[in-house]
Amino acid sequence: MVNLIKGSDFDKELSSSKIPVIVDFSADWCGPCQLMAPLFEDLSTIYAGKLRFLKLDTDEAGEVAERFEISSIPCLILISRGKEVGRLLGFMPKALLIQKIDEILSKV
Amino acid sequence: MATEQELLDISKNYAEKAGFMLNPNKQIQDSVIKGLVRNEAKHGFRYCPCRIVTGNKEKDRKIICPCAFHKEEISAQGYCHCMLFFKKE
Repeated sequence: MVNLIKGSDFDKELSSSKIPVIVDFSADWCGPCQLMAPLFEDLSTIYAGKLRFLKLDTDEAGEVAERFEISSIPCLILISRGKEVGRLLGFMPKALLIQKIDEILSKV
Repeated sequence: MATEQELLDISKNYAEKAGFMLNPNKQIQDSVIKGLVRNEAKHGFRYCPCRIVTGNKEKDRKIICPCAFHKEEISAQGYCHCMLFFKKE
C-alpha cells in the first residue's frame, strides 16, 4: 500500500516507521510520474513488510523536496534510520527498479 | 501566454526541426503540455514540469523547455527526462 502524505507529516511518518522507507517524489503534471505510479503501487505489494511506501507531491511538499535537494521527478528515495541510503532518478521499468532497490537494501 | 494547443504546436515544430518527435503516448504528452502551460502561468517561463524550479534564475534558465539536457538524454536513452521529446523511430 502506498500512503500519500503531506509534507508537514513527513518527519512524523519517517520517525514512526520501524522498517526502511521509500518515498516517491512526484507531481500531477509530470508525465513519467504517471507511468511510475502503478509500478510503485506494485512494488509496495512485492516489498510489503520490508519497505514502507510513501508518496509526496513536490508542489505541496516543496520544503521536503528542497531538503533532499530534489532537482527532477520522479525521484524515489530510500531512507533507513532517518538517513538516505539510495535514490533512483527518472522513470525505469519494474524489473530494473526491483534490481536497484534490492541492491540498495542489501547494503542497509 | 501560450494555450495548450499553441504550446503543443510549438513543441511539435521544435521536435520536427530538431529531428525528434513528440511522445506517441498522448496521455503523457498532454500532461507535460499542461505542466508547461501551468509553469508559464505560475513562474512566467515554460519550465519543465519534471524538474524543480529553484528560484535561482541562472539555474532555472537551464530547465526552460526544451531544456539544456534534452539532447544528451535523447541521445542516451531515446527520450528526454520528461518524456516529451523522443528519438525518431
